[in-house]
Amino acid sequence: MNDHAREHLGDDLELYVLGLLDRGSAARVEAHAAGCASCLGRLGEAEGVLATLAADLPARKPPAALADRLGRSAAGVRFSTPRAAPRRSDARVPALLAVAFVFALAFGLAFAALLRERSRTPALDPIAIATIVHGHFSHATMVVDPRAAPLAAKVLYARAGGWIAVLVDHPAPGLAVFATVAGREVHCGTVRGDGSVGSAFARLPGRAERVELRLDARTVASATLVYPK
Amino acid sequence: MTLAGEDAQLANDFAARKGGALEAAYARYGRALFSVAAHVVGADDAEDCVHDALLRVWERPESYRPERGALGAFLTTCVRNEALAATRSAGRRSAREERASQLEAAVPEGIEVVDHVEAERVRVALARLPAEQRVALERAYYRCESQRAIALALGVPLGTIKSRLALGLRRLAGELGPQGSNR
Repeated sequence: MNDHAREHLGDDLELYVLGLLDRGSAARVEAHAAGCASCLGRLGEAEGVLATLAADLPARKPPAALADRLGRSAAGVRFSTPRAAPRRSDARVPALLAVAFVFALAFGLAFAALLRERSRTPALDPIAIATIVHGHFSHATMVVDPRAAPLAAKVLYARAGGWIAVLVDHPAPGLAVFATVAGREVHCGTVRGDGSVGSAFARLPGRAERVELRLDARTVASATLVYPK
Repeated sequence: MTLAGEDAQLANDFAARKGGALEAAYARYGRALFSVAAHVVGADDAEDCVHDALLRVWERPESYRPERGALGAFLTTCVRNEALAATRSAGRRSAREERASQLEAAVPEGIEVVDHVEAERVRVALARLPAEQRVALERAYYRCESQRAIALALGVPLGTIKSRLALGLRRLAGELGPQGSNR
């Protein structure tokens, strides 16, 4: 552990490792450490201490099914770009690529939905698309319950809060969207589409902390949203 | 290959997203990860917690680099933070507080722990900390209490608790020595 690293993040680094920071502060620690070698090393050191503390917890045997479930979920993950270690000097490049990818995905899915189902009202109407185009947003891949495969979904969300857009591949009919804002759950309507792809757009009273897709009251996909400080 | 060498190889494979690396990491650290999750959210919810946390990490190749440190330690932090975040949702807050009130700082006699040798080393290291740092750390880690809850319980300002936790963790790193980050 070195003083140079401590100057950057102060006590937040230890508080992050202890799980005591809010999501915004935690994201700030992660973002800083990703581009700062000394803080990354200090973070790993603190994580090592926490892992050692875990040795004194009551031992629990995980259910045998968890390994299979994890393997099935991992098999569905596709990596779009080769892994590259981010450095401070090029830390923005992956972010820009991600934004460009999300733009392309948003327009592609929305345009495809419009072409396929002109008679239906698309969730991403012109106002929603304009909001996305002119806004600053992040995106998150939703973690899907393996039983809901081949469902796949992403959430685009305004960095300042106020809206979310959900893009879904292989949506089941009646897929409902729920967001948690300031600890309160908000029903954001249902995913619209032609069965092949679908989308939903909702304006919210603040920053969504979590988004869930539910089918018959059962959560089939979820994402926890992280915001820049 | 030594155990440390196997861990390093696994960390490299995991960072490179080589096929089977996630399953191998789970096979290596799964029991400890599940124990950590079960401690925070209970055994019933621990499976979902471990699954979601590992998948979330696996989906983000930029989230872990071997330069960070031990893969097992990184995954342990991710799982614990996922579990703590789950308990902070509005619907489960009261359940978390009730559970926290039931948890004891020390494991009762006769209960098997994750690693007996390490557990003894942890107890000795914790005992060497100044009392105020040890109490704050035990409440935060073993009883999963928030900073505010600890400050309230001990009757000291929130800033003081933050400092005690950070100082305690740094000092504990020194007490545990280099082996503290080898997991």
